[in-house]
Amino acid sequence: MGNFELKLATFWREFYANGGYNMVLEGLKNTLIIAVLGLLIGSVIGTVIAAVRVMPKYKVLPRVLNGICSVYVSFFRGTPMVVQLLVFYYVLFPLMGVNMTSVMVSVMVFGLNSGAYISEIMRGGILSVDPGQMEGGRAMGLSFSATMMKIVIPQAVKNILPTMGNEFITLIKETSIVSFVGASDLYKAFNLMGTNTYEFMVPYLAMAVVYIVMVLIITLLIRLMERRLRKSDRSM
Amino acid sequence: MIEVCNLHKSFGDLQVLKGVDLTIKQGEIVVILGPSGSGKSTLLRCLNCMEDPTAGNIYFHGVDLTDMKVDINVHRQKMCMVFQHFNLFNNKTVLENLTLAPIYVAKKKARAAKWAKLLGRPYEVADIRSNKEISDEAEARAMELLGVVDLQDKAAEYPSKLSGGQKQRVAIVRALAMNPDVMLFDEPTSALDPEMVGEVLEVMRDLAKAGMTMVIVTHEMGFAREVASRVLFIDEGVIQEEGTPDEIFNHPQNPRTQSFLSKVL
Repeated sequence: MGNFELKLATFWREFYANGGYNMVLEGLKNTLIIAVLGLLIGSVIGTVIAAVRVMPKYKVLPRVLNGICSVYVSFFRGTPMVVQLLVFYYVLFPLMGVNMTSVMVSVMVFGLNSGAYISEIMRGGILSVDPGQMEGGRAMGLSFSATMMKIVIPQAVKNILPTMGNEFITLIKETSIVSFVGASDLYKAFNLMGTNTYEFMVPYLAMAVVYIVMVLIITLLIRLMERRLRKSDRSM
Repeated sequence: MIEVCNLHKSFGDLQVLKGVDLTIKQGEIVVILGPSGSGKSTLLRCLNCMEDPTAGNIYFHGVDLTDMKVDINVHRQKMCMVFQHFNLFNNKTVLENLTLAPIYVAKKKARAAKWAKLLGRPYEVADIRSNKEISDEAEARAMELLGVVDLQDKAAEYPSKLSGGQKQRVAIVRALAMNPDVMLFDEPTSALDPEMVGEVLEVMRDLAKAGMTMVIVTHEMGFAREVASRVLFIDEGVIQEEGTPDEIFNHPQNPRTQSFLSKVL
């Protein structure tokens, strides 16, 4: 490891003096944008799909919606996210004549993809809530959707928070594939620094550290949130 | 008020109700008795369509609830149910449990009236109220009801902090907050510790005195004898015998009723 100091100095020069930190900050920003917005879009889509899938199915409309949702989930869970990203960016949007930046497309694909996963997480969460809660609401004359939104989903969210944290962490790390469509994320920033100096060891290690720090911070935030949401439980 | 015609209910191959006819009039207190698995809870749950009847009709104020086109939610608001396991909303405080449904209903009415006004259709002027008015009124009413069951000091607590008896009393006033025409009780004391049964029955007794129409499934024979205006004995999915408490408890005619009562009394 005699030349580790040399490598470190090379990296530092590239990072600090040659303005590499700008790329890293830009990458950090994009990574966070894609992961956070993706998670938000995914949560909305996932919650709607989960609600549709647990609906009572006497009538035609819920059945049709249920069919659409299962096709959606099969598609987005059945293909790799890289493939979805490439299809949307290079095939679908150009065909539709839509012009979007690669970050926007990434946000969309991450949202649609995590929506499929979150729908199953959410469905599990909804099923974990005592059916008596739904009955209690319905017996008071609240509609299915009102009971779902006011009573069941808030309790379900509390139950699935640890799993949702997992999903968010997965999303953050998965953003390292968006450079496939040319978006500048953390991976691209550090990789470029490596390419510029022909020296990859330190940039890659630094990249790992940045990801770990992000994940640790998120873990902490989720734990704080969980504690807040647990206030209606006996254990507190 | 409620009329049940030839009600059948099956769960898969299992026939639970095999043709029940029943009329419940305003102010009546009907107690349903029967061995476990006889279909008494199912009958009660069919009344407000918590279970969809397989065949037969249920008329509530003359409206057929089994008709898929009927908005069941509107009718359930006037036919509230109290459950064996309370089913209080765990994520809401006691006060919110009482105000949730009344606020929801009033806001819905206000919205509908505002749209009707906008579109020039007829509407009730009294329905148009601000959200603040609606929630203030609901909260005042909720506190009044909590006062009736002596739980005003628990208004800000979550249900998990209450005892079973307290939960059931909250569940009863939660139903009352809707000003229902009839209340359905599905074994309201079966999940309670023995020393808490009394406080819940006390509340129900007061309701009965106040003239509330009630349909009660229970195993509390003494209570049934005391408050019921009519007792139904159900077994094997049909009403085997019905009559006044005196007729059923002191002079049962049907051998099934006789054997059931000899076991429980």
